Amino acid sequence: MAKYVKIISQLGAVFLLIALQLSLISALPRPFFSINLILILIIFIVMFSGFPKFIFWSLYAGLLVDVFAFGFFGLFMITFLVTTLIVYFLQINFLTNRSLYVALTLIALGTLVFNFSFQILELILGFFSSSSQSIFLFSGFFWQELLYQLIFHSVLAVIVFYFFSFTTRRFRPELLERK
Amino acid sequence: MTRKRFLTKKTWLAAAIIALLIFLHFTKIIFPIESGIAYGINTIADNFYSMGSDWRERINTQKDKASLAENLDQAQKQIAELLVEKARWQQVEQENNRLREYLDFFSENNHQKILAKVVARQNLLVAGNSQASLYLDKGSRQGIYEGLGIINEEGILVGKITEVKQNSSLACLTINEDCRVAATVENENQTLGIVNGNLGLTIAMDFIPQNHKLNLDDLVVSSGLEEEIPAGLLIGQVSEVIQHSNEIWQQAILEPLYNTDKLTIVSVIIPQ
Repeated sequence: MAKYVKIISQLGAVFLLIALQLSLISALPRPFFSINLILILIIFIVMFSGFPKFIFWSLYAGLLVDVFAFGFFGLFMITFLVTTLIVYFLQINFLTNRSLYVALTLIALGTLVFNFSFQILELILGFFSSSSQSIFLFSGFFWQELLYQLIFHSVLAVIVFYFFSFTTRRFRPELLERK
Repeated sequence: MTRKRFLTKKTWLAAAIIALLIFLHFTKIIFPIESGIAYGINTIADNFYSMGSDWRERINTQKDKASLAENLDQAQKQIAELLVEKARWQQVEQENNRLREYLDFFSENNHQKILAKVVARQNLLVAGNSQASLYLDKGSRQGIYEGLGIINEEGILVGKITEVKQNSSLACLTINEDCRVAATVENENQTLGIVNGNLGLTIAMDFIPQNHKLNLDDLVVSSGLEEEIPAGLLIGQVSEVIQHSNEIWQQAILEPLYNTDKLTIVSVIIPQ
């Protein structure tokens, strides 16, 4: 019973966070609206809970955003899945410890992968639907926002990392076992 | 060094679930679930958006001196109201002189309005998306459809509906580069043209013939050439005229007469 209560409360908390992201963050002035709390959460879940739990959470978050957003249904689910899989691949093969530097590197790489995979997918889908799509690589606005996003995400990653370091044991520096 | 595998059965299962969900979405089988989720997010988002919008306004206001901002705000509101009134009277005068039946379009009582709350802005999660589109909490279930105009509390045309779902809709603002509205200048020629956003800050009016004379501060209103948007709704005021002798058309830059930070509730106009 306690297990189900825990799962429901986690689902509710993520639902609330997504509503907060979609409404409150999107209403903030430039450059604050570029913050992506959901991505930070998902990357910490990759580090924190590992495979395959993060797959469920990335699908759940992507589904909620897809239902709310206008555009091709499934775009956010695919983007979140691709991002988390790449971040997970990097974590288990190259960035195996759970230090702050690893968290910062994964957040930065995850932010880049998320934005590039989303824009590429949107460009491909726009090509098939014959809607006019400008190439994001030539947009100064895109690069500027990406830079702001990287800065904000790094700052938030430090805060979240130290918060979890003090409240749980999972982020205590340790090396993952290699078989 | 051996690489650890991550493309396991569970990963492929996740990909299959996504494909299934996309299929169910396009076959509209999961519409009730989607509606429930969207309703839940809209309900929570409504409160959060107002909070975010309030912060946004405060942050932007703090950039200027507080008292000055307050006075300016009041003055702008008064100017906007007077301009709306001026536009109305000009429109009424011309309509009386030329087409009396236009009065039916102009009268506010002849249009049904649907009040909608703004729940989010377009820039969802991804860098590079502009904020010049709004998510509204009303959709096709409430009678909203693509192409309808949206006005603020002062009666200024702030944008139009571009996409609709059952319980929500997406509206582009007139400052959005992809938002196009048929417009007319309140001058001697009643110059017709198309307005669209300019860098997300101002509005540009294109396709204006070179021989038409435009003056600064001329008002620009909706022309009524679009079936879904009635004529005479104020769009902006001419602040710059760009004219090159080697071009077929001239361009006008318009000042939008509304504050995007204050758009928390809008009215969608349903023409009759």
